[in-house]
Amino acid sequence: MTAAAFTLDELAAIAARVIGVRALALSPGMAAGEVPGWDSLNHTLIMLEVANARGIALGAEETAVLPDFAAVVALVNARLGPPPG
Amino acid sequence: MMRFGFEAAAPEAPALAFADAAGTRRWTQRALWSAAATEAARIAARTAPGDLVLIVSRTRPEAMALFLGAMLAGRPPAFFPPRSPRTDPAYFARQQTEAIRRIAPALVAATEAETRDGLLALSPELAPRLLEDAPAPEADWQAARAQFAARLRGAAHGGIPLFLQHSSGTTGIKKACAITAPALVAHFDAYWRQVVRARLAPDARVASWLPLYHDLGLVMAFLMPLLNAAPIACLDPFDWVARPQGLPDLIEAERATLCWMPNFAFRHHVRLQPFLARRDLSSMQAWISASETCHARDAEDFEAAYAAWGVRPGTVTALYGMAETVCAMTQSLPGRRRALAAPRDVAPGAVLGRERLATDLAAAAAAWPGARLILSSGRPVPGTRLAVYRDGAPQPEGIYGEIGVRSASFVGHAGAARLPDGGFPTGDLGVILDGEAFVLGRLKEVIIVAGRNLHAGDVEAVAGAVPGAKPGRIVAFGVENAATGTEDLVIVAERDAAAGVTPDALRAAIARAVTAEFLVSAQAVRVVEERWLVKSTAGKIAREANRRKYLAEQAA
Repeated sequence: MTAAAFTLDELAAIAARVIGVRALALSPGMAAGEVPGWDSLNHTLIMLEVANARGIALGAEETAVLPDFAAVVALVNARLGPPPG
Repeated sequence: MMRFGFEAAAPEAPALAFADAAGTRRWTQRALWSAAATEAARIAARTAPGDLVLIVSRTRPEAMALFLGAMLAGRPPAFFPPRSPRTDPAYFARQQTEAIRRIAPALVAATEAETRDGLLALSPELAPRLLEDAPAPEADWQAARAQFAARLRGAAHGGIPLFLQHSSGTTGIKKACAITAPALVAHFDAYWRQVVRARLAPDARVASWLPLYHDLGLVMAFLMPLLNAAPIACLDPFDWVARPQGLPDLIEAERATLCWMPNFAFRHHVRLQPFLARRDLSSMQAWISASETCHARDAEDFEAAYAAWGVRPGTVTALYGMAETVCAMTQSLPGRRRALAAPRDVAPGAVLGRERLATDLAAAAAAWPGARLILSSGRPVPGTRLAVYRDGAPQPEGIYGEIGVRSASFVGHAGAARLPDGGFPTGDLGVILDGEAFVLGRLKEVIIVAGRNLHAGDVEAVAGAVPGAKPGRIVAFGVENAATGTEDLVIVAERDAAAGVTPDALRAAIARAVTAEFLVSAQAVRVVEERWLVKSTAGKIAREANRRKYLAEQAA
């Protein structure tokens, strides 16, 4: 059985919880540097939360160099395997 | 005559253990001094005594050998930060080139090819001053060791500083402190011998992820243990941020006993704990919080989070220091934790009496609702005296105000202000009670985010230059964040409606510009309409009034 696809909304919810804000509006073309509060320490925590929630290995270093959130979501989905169906 | 541990250390005794993704590299005393002797010869061949050597490098044994080699050669070295993975390479190169132009080092050593290439691409004129990698004959490590001991005793290169360190974090090159051999030796004797070895950990083995371009990392995680021949286990700070498991791994593997970190790192490790693999940390004798306001709750929560890993209650201590005194001015002792219940709004001259001291944090929080529980930084180290000063005069204990210091290891910096009695005003606000220092914040408008000093005016200048922001109508300030154990950087910017930039776009652009400039992410960027910001009667943006207005609106 394959996992449900990871989404930008799921990333935004995890990031908001880590950063300590009510909600975050992320768009696929945005990057961490454009989000107040998304610093390198929180980036590590966010990626640890994502890895833990989805049961995958995900390094803070490999995601820090990705150009935008779309690429982060794509990397998580690649680790999860092909979508169901 | 003072003898240093390194003079008699066995050749094969451990000097450095450096861990990164590739594994752990170990250097013996012989390897470290051999490499330093080789670097000293390479540096001496390119420069004259007294010339400044700038080392731009991540933490690694080779950079430490370069630094030691430059000191051996009588060419004062200084560490400069390398590019962070989050910094734009072109911006970094421009910034470093400007800094290098201003301080005009005779030699620049960049240990990573990427840093070297970046500097050369933007400033080809630096080429003649770059220290190239080249094979060098092995040098006499025992002679180097003896030569360094002679330098420390003033018998070689007298009058030339040992090294330079910079006293203010990220916003440019603020104050270069020239550390002399007598100052370093005085610090070693007073802090390392009489406090660390005698009261914290007789078997000193240091674990660190601190950057070498910061005085805490340079002095505590390199120079002090170097003089003592105490083993150093280290990580690069960027590696620690990306892979924090590295620190408990290193402590367990090397049976470390001492670790210095800024306050935010204790809180960060509390948040990390559920994700880290358990390691045995029972070897640790003392954790030392420094470089920013030390919060008692963060110390206690850290001990509780890692109790099952062997961290003992009362082992998180605190140090108060600054680059101008080499590093440490005070140190608290394990098992003797005291906190001060400090009001959130307090003006210099106010009395904060002994009734506010507490050992039971829960009781203190109940007795003083809303108070900040500030960890005691302990008593001054031998040879150092601290007092709160007002109008140039030392005040009795319990008066809150600017802390002044007189210290045997004081070197100051060019243009440093002095107090009438010869002391040095630190710019830090606090109170002395029962001889212990409680440091609450900064006199100047400095925001300390995760150990980095940001000058509010510098942040406002960068944010104000973003298209769409109204020039001169920006304010930056710090807000304490209990969840992260440090200050949040908050920016409030008035939008120039005529510029045609949306509030969301302006917010993102300011966040991007500030992150790129200072390597610090603003926790909040609030875009407001014109005339939101409060001005003083002198027509200047009133930082504190705007901070209060922002917090009141956030709470509403």
